[in-house]
Amino acid sequence: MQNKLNELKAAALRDIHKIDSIKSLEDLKIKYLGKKGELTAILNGLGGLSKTERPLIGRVGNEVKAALTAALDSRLSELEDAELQKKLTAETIDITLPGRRIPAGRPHILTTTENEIRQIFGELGYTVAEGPDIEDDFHNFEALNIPKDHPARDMHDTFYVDDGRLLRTHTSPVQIRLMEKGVLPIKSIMPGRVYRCDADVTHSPVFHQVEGLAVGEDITFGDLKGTLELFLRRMFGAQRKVRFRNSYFPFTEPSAEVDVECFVCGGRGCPLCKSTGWIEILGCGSVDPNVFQAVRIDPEKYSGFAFGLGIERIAMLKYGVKDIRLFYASDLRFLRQF
Amino acid sequence: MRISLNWLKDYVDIKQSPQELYELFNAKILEVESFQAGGAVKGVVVAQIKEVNPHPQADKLHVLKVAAGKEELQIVCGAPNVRPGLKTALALVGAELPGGIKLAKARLRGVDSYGMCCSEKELGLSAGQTGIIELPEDAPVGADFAEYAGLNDAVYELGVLPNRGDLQSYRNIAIEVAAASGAPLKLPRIKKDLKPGTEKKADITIEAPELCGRYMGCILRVKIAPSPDWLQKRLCAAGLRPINNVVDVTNFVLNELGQPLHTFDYRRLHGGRIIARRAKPGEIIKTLAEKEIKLTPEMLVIADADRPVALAGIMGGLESGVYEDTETILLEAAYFAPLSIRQTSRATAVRSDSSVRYEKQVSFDGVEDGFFRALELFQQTAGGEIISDIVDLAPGRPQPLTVELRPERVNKVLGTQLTEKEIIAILERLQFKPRAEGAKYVVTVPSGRTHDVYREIDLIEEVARIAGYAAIPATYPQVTVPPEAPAPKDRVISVIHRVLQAGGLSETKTYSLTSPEVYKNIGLPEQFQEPVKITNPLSVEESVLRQSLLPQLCLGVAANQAQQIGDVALYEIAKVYTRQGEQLRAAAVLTGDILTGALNQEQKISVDFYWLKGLVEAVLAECSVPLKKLQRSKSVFLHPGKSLELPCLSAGELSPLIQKKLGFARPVYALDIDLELLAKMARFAKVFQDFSPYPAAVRDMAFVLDRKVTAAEIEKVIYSAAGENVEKIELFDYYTGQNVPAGKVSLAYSLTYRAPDRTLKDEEIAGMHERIVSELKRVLNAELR
Repeated sequence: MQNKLNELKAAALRDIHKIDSIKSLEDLKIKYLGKKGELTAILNGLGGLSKTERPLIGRVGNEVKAALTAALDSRLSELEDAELQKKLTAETIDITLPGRRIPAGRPHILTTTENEIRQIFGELGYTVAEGPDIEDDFHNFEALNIPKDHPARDMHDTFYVDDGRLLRTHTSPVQIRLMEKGVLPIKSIMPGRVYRCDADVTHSPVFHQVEGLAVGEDITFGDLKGTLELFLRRMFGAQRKVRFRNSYFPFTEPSAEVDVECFVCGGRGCPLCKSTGWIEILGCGSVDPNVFQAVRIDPEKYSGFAFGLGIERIAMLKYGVKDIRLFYASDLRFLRQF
Repeated sequence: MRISLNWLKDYVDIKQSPQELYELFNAKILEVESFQAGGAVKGVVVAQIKEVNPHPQADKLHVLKVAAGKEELQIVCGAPNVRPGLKTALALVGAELPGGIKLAKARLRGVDSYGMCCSEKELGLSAGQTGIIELPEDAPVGADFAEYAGLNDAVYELGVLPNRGDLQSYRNIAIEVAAASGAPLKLPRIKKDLKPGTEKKADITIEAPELCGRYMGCILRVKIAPSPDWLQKRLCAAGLRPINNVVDVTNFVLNELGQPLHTFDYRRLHGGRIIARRAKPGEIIKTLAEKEIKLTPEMLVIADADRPVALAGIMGGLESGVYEDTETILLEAAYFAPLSIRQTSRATAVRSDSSVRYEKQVSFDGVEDGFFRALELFQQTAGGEIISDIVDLAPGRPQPLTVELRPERVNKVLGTQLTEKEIIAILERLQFKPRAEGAKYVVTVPSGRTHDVYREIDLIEEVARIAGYAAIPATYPQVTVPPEAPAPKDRVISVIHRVLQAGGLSETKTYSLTSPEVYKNIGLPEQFQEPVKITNPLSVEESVLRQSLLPQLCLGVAANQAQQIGDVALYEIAKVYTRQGEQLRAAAVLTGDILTGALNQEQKISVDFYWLKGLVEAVLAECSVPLKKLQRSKSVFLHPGKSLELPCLSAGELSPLIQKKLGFARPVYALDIDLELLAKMARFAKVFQDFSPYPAAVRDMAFVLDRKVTAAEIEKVIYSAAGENVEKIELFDYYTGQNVPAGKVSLAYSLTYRAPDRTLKDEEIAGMHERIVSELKRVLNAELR
């Protein structure tokens, strides 16, 4: 009887090994272990054995059953694995085909750039102030220490409108309007459209500026330096060198122009920076006392700083745009790039 | 202002390299617009041709014996102008020439050449000269040519700021360099005690003292000749062409001291007189540039007894100028009112080296410096002999200007820790004269700086820039301003960006300025309502302020389609302008397909009215603005039957007039939002709406009814028939055509029923459903299918 069991085990293991489909494996399982299976038949016949033989054959029989079950499971797992591999191979797709286009539009690069600037100054606790595009002479010039016949008016190619007003040449009039309200201290930025009658590949008659103004009791030129260094390093990279050069604006004293180490060549010299290693980014300075007087703020008690930069210029430099007119051409080949 | 380093070194001991000086200019003085460090020519010497022999193998070549200092070299040369005795520039073996050329020994048609005689072109001096350079007879043989010709000079082009007209002179730049670098100054000492002559009387009158504050003049006998070498070299370095000794001296002094000068041929001054007066109406002057100018009484002229002989401070008259035959001159040095010079220069469109200095204000005291410096140089270079008295009329002499300075204020404004000593030293180096008076200083401002430095803050700026902005510590303002909540307008803007971009639209920006014809250009009748006009536009295309964003967006669609981009979806958020004010709007245009991918072309969605309406609904939903008061739009931009209007916006298919004019092949849809009104209506304070925990039941219904019945009417009937337990109504089929009678439409709705407080029973749902069906039939004559 024991021999018969061992023969059955050997035969079953051989069969299991040969099987190559899950279906036939199941048939085989039934053949040996099913209700009417061969091993089941033997184990069911234990009752006919002697008392001494029964435990022995019973034990061997169970061992054979366990061995067969394990072999069947293991073979099943092998077959399932093979089947999965086959399925995966069959289902493989061409991943180099183009992706489906999500119908998402893009923000304008000038909006993105302006938002970046707003974000940085927002974190520094600056509010946002706005004002009209059509301005009067007082807010655009007089109050900014640019009286009639001042040579600095030559630097602002002003568009005049038919009712004697003008299109603001900078967002500085918003500074004046803000200070006129008399709520101090001030920490604000002023983004907006500005206008100059000048047009070529780097000058547009309509363009955007962001200016900033801080007014308080102890604001120094050093505060201006710290603020702008921080801003420019956020904008152009934490390691960028920043330099302040002496300059002149009627509404600030002292005045400076600020350069950032060229972000293309890192200061070694390249066509973008005209081999100087520096890129001029913005103009700034401490608020001129004459400006404070024009808005009835006591320049002995209060001090402040102001700065201004062109958004187009920043975007042109940062993204390598060579022709300013592209910003205004509504050309989707341009707009969708950013 | 073009600055030659070699010339500048006459006035200040510069130890810095050209590069270091470049950085010093930029940091503390003026921006350098361009800079040439010099030194591109090396190993070239002044040489003299001793012998010229024919080349044995080539007709056009010569074999020369050339003396180059100690040795005589054999040189093969093809230039036509070789001759014995000629002095020229010889590049020796190993020499470097512009463009990175390095000279090696050469063998030309079998004859060795130990160098090359150079043309001006090869030395980078001019573009198209043929033949080798011809040097004057006194050129020293063997001398380094670059040194001799001043090619080792560094040249700086400085951008002169509007407030620093005084920096259009070598002397004042030298003062700045000395102050900024600590280098010692060595300014020329100007002799002012020259002996006047007695032969003639300089007859000078100022009739317009408000325009001519000072006039110095005297008469000299001169011998016109070419200038000496040193003077010619200086002028060349400044980019000026030498003319003759008299003219060259005035140009030299103009550059050296910044004082413009003028010389008249004294014999050509009628009556021997000089009168500084306003021009008479109708007077005309012909300038040195041979331009005839009509004068007006706002203009200052220098006249003789009969007529204007100079446009004061700007340009001399042709007839009274100094020429080869001039023997006596009248020298003018003056102070003219800057504004008058600027206005006259503008009105006449004449600019000169004089006018650009006068209009930015010259130094009142500097007038005599320039005057006496020129007299001295006339004596040295033109045999100048003073034959009249020296006249100095100064009706406009200003009081010396003093400004008070509190040293502690300097540090307070700048955020620095400068000592009083440092502050005062800087001012003194800049030629200010500070005098201590108690805790403060009374500072006398140099005559040439009074227009720019007249307040304490101006002195502080001087200290700041010379101390160096780099030395000012970087700090942050210790000021806090209460943060503002985002304005509704800003929130609406961000909603529009988000929704429209998600809907496939890209943001554009177009000019606020447009053409007065813009409506005609897009096929519409005139719509402008008294537009704000630009009085000095760059072009008619940009001569009025726009009153709508849509025309330029329509043109944007056309521009893209001209580039074969058929699917265009654009929006802009910007202002429009009327005489009453400025208004912020958002507008959009869209056309073509919304692609879901090239692989499934059948999944393309064509933009239509309902896609646009979906965008409108999304924007309104985000702003919690209910879609109420929906009407058909009367906008001239839109198709009246395919457009909608709400108080804050209009949307729909573009007017066929526009589509036809711009040649759009597929319908274009447009949206125009009054952003300010939408911001007023928007509510961003959301309140949580509890939802029912009980299950929903979904039932569909389909019916046919008259096409004229609107969806809004159907929904109204459904809600009123079924009450609050209808949670959602969704139209999922809208069909006309086969099997639907003409004039009718088949609609299929999916209704979701749910109660907030219990599970609805099947009978209840069936009851509501039946009620809806019967009400639809009763009210709208709908037939259930």
